[in-house]
Amino acid sequence: MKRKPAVDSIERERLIQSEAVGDLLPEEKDLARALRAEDPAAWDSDVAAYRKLSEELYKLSDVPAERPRGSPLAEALAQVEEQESKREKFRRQLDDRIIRFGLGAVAARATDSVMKSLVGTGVTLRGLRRVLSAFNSTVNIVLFQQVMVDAASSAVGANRKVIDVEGTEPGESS
Amino acid sequence: MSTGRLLFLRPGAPDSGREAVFLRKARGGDRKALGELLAPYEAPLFRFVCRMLGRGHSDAAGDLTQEVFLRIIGSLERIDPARPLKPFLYRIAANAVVDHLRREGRRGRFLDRDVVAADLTDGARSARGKESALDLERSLALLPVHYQLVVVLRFAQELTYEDISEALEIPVGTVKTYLHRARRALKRSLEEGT
Repeated sequence: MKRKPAVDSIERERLIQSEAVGDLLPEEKDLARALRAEDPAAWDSDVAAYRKLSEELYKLSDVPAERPRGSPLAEALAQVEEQESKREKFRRQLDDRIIRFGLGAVAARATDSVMKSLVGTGVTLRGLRRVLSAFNSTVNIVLFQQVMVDAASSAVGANRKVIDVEGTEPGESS
Repeated sequence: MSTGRLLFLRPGAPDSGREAVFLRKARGGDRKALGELLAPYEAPLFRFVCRMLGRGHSDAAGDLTQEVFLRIIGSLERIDPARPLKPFLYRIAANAVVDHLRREGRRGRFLDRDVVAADLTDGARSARGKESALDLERSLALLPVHYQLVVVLRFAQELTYEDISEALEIPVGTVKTYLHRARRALKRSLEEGT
């Protein structure tokens, strides 16, 4: 007499699902056949139920899609464009002295979120504030931060000498 | 969001050679190439986000899809041109969806029963078909979000197991396990509902 396959209910159900969606591995086919032989009606009924469920799930892609009011991609591209144009404009406004000053404000320890976000870039909040006050306009701090990070990256690559002043303006003692 | 036209430029399977060229140009600052690279994915990603947020939230889905594209554009340097782009894009979208749901304090999709019912009346389905589709939507909305993700990626977006695995950064075996558990839960939920 043939022994019953030692398979728990979870594994049995997994095999039923696999058969329903055509995912049965070649090495699982014999086991599935043996399990079906125990109660073909129950097996076939479960396979049919899962097959129907899968068909219903695939219909999720048939339902007429909702449309956004505009184009998310076009909006994102426009936003990036605008941001870059602002950054470029701002970058042009920064002269070497200001960049050097910002880079010179080296942080020993970051003490707030803005400074933390700038750790490793060589720019401190104190340095930023002083640069901002020297800069006669209201400046978006996030934008400024991005510009400084970019400037720091390129300046460090180009000339490490710019990061040699400890938070002091050239000609000023700390 | 201002109005604009949805960029359904090239639906279907994108050409990876073309994508590599567009990617290289996009990294060099070519905005047109960036648009060409991402346009084929706009509609699918929007549909994915819609599916995950639940119907009746197309405005939120539109905004979130825009955020997804901003994240993608900010991650251009991280894209490996030697690998398929699609799973990478879905990874960013899935993370954005999960972040959004977390921000909103929602564990999973929000199901607006009336919206779903109204929406389903538009199709050519039979009354029974509409009812079962509504039951399925309802049951799906009750699943944990990681199960919903694999179900939506597999059945609504028709991604392969391998692509889902890469998109969600889980092994293929785990994808199959999640699908298996999700189907079991859905079957039970539907049986209890009938």
